[in-house]
Amino acid sequence: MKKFTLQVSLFFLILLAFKLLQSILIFDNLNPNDSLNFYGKESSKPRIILVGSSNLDYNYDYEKLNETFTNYDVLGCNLNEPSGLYATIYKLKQLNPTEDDIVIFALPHSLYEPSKLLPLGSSGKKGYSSKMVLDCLKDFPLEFMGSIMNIQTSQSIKLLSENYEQTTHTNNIIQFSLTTDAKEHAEFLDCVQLEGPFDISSTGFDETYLVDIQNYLSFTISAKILYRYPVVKESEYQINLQRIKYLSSHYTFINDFDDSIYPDGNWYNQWYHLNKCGRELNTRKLINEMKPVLKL
Amino acid sequence: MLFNSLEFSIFLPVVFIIFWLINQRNLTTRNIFLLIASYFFYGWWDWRFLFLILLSTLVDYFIGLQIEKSNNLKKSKILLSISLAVNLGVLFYFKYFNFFIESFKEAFTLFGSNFESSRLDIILPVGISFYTFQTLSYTIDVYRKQLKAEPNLIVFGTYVSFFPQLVAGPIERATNLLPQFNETKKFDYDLAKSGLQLMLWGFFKKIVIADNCAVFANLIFNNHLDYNYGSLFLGSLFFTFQIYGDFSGYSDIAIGTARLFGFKLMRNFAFPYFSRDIAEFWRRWHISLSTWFRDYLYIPLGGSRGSTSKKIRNTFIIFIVSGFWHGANWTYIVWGALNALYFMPLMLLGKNRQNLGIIGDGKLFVSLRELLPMLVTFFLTVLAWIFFRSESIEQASEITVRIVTFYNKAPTAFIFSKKVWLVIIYILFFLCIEWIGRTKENPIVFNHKLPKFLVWIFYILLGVAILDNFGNSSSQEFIYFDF
Repeated sequence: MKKFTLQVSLFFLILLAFKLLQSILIFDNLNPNDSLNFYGKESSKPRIILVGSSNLDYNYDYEKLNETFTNYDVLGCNLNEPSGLYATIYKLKQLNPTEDDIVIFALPHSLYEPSKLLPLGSSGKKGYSSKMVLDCLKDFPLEFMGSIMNIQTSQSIKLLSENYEQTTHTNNIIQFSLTTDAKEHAEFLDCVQLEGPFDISSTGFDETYLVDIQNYLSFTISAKILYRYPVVKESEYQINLQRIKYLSSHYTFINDFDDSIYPDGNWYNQWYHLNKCGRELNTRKLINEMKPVLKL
Repeated sequence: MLFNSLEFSIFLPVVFIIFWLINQRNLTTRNIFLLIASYFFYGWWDWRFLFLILLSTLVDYFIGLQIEKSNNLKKSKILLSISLAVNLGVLFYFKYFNFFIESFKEAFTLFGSNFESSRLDIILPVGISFYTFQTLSYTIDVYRKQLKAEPNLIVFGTYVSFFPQLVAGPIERATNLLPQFNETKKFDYDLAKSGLQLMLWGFFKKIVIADNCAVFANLIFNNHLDYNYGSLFLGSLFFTFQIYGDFSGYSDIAIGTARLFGFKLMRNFAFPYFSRDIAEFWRRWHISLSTWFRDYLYIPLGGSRGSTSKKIRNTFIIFIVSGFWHGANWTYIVWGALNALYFMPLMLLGKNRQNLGIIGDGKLFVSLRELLPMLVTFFLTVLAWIFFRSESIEQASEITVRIVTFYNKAPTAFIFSKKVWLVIIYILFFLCIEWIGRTKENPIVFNHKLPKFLVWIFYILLGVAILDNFGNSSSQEFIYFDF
């Protein structure tokens, strides 16, 4: 029995070491500077921090929000969706939210899934650092193990063969900007007819994970935490309804789901990016939703 | 619980450790533990259906005892009939009820009448066909006086629900498995090692071969009208390896898992795609089911004895029933009938037992005389799998017609992406390993002449390939869970 146990343990240890090596190759080969750029402006006022993915690049007008909430600095904290939730939370932590701050999670649906906590295997990740990945191992060991299983050997070989480009952003200073890239795209002003429908109902939530994430956020972030429904296309309401209902039964959102539905003419280049009209409407809606919260 | 899930990777070591800790102390405690573990394993999917296993267990346990006690043949027959009625009744209700309703409806509509009925919203309990057949074999064996009835309910319950083979076989005979629950086990290093080796190869077959083939087989079968004959044939080939990797992979994992606990399950696959005729194929494919049908259906019907018409009838019955066992759809019935047709010439010419050995035994390469029949058999099998995989007879017919007529006017060309080539390389590697190791039970058990470190490197590489593909496949169930 002893010999058997030793041999089996050795076999799995070699495999685990191989996977850890792969994950090290990956997170040490990504640019950590993406985690230093935020939207909005920062002074000494309490902050309203919006947290999300690329939806924050398009769906909110930070100038308008900052003009409206004069007692607060409204900030946007995001990484692209393939980076996963943990990297986004990690980026948020750099702002050191305090009890005076309000954090609004306006996450895409996918970021409520366990597979999107730390998607090491997905391409297009940003803002990773070895410290962050190791912290994730500490905070979410099970999800971390699941994540390193998704790294493929071919991906590691590809990363090894690529030259990592150092960016000019090497001084590790957090930067803020009131405007987003969205304004630079001419098409952003008009509606682009997107092909659809986009069915998000096939991917799965996990009840335990949803509770774990809520507990983790309330434990690690001192600020008041709110959740906001991500935007949904009107024509995709029905196919995604079941999934949204499931999420609603686990989280309390500051907006009504019906309010997060936008007509097909309000969209830009993705099913989670609004165009200019959509952004104005979404920003206005957020302002209205926040008024009772801020007792304005 | 799926073998290819994270839950199972926690469940198995925990059960393994506890099992060996309590094994030496008390046989009953050990069996109770195995029973609980097996119910937990099954209940993880849906605990409500545990009652069906319990029902099957209790019915056959008590009927077995009563049959043994009874000296009256008539009474024994009645008891056996009750067991058959309960087990097959449950199977019929959960698996075939809607099929018969639909078929009656279609038949009545065909003759211009109305047959008012509606489908029932029934969930098919995982593994129902497997454990039903396993318990039935016990009762029939007791009735035939080939086996003593088991007096211990815990032992019998563990035999019915033993988790490694509960949901997709092998369909064990009580004569083989039941006595093993009455033995105190001693940890056998070689048995456990061979179990792990089988599991490793099983996981490779399931996760690397079957799940990767499934992606392209599904793509092509789900959009079959868009493809030309070449793509459709390629899709059929992908399915051919998918079904083999999936089911034989499951069997290997099941047999290997049982060995970790000191239990020996029967072999279920013996390199079926290296068969030289259909009769040989069926001696090598899903052996536990083929022999079940042989012993409990074919032989009682008269087998290959009697007139030619009787032989033909028996052959068709066994193949069609075998097809129907797989699922409540006409496609499975046609698949069975097609195999019966393939088998018929061999049986009529008395050549169905001409290839009992291993192809090219002792040689790396085989002569053209052996290779050609093997390729023909493989091709016939691929054509039959089209019916097995298709949603309907119409779909299967369209695909078959396009393949055999070299149809070339479809709008879409199948794209040979890098991923497709990678899967083809995986299949070729898999075939090479199986071919080289075809004389053994497990092709990745190498002889002692090979340096140990090379064997370890090979096993680690298999492990890496499994993990590399695991993330993509964690949601893929085993096909045979549906049967």
